[in-house]
Amino acid sequence: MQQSAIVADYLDALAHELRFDLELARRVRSEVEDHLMEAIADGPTNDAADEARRAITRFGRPRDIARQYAPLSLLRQVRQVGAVLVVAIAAIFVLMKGRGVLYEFLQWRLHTDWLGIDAAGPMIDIYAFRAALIAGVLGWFYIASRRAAPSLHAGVQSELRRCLVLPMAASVLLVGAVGLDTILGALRLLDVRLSPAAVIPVASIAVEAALVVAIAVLMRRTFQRAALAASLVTEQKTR
Amino acid sequence: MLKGHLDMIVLAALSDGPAHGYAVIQEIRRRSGGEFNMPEGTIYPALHRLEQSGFLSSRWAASETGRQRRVYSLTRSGRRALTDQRAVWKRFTDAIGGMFGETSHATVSHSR
Repeated sequence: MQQSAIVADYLDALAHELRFDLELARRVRSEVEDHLMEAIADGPTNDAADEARRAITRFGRPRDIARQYAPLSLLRQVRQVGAVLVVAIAAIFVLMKGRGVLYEFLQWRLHTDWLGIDAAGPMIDIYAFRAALIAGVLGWFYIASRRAAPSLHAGVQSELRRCLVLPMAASVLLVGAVGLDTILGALRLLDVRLSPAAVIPVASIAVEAALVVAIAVLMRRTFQRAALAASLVTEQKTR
Repeated sequence: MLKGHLDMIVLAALSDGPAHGYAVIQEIRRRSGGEFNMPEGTIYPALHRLEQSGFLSSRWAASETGRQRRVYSLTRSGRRALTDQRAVWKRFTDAIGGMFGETSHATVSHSR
């Protein structure tokens, strides 16, 4: 087997173990390739294939290396979730306030008593949003206070799960608040004649919905990444 | 024991200037007189971790052979962290030296 094929096989194995984070896998692959090529060139013998095998042995097993990258990658992903959540909450707050001002200005009031929503709806909406705000900000502080562990183990996984509890709660509350906002907005618009001004609340609710969808997608990606990384620990235990 | 001090070792290896992963490993080996001979693959996650913590910055640069390589350098906060860890380590080694009778109690107390 030629030196380039030996190195390529090793890099493929490493990239496969790092499949929980494709961007990281690409970067690590390039770095490790450079490392191995330099180690082969520095080797004492002229047998490049033998030097390649030696360099790979010195470098370590792909799974062991991937296990050291996993906490870094997961923490970065969780931090991203926290940051997006806080930004989304702030944006939704501005949009909600702006809509409130517009409704007041245009005198678009809720005139329906459908399931008592005219009285309870705005109240539930405000409390759900406030709870989401508190959970999101506390979650962000907790995430920001975490440091990446040197290797992935059960303790790190528990900590990452804890990191996601508050953002999860904030997301659910935010979905509730935006959902209720959509219903209340629709009820207001039903009572008024269609005008160009109606585009503003519709657009702002659409932006809120898009933000909530973005958070859900990011959450899903985080759980997928965590599940893939967890297999590195599970397979270690069963071995 | 080495595992717990890996971050400090990597920061120290970069104290003379920017370097890529392979050069960091060579520097660790050289400075430790070959004593620190850990699996080379463990250095790269440590470099990434230190970069994420803000102690290192990195950029891609072309090597002499034209290959792209990631070059790491200490940030201001990395230098500060290294200075702090060096002081802690000095106190620790002085204290241990005192335990073995290699350093006088006065030296240990003085270094605190």
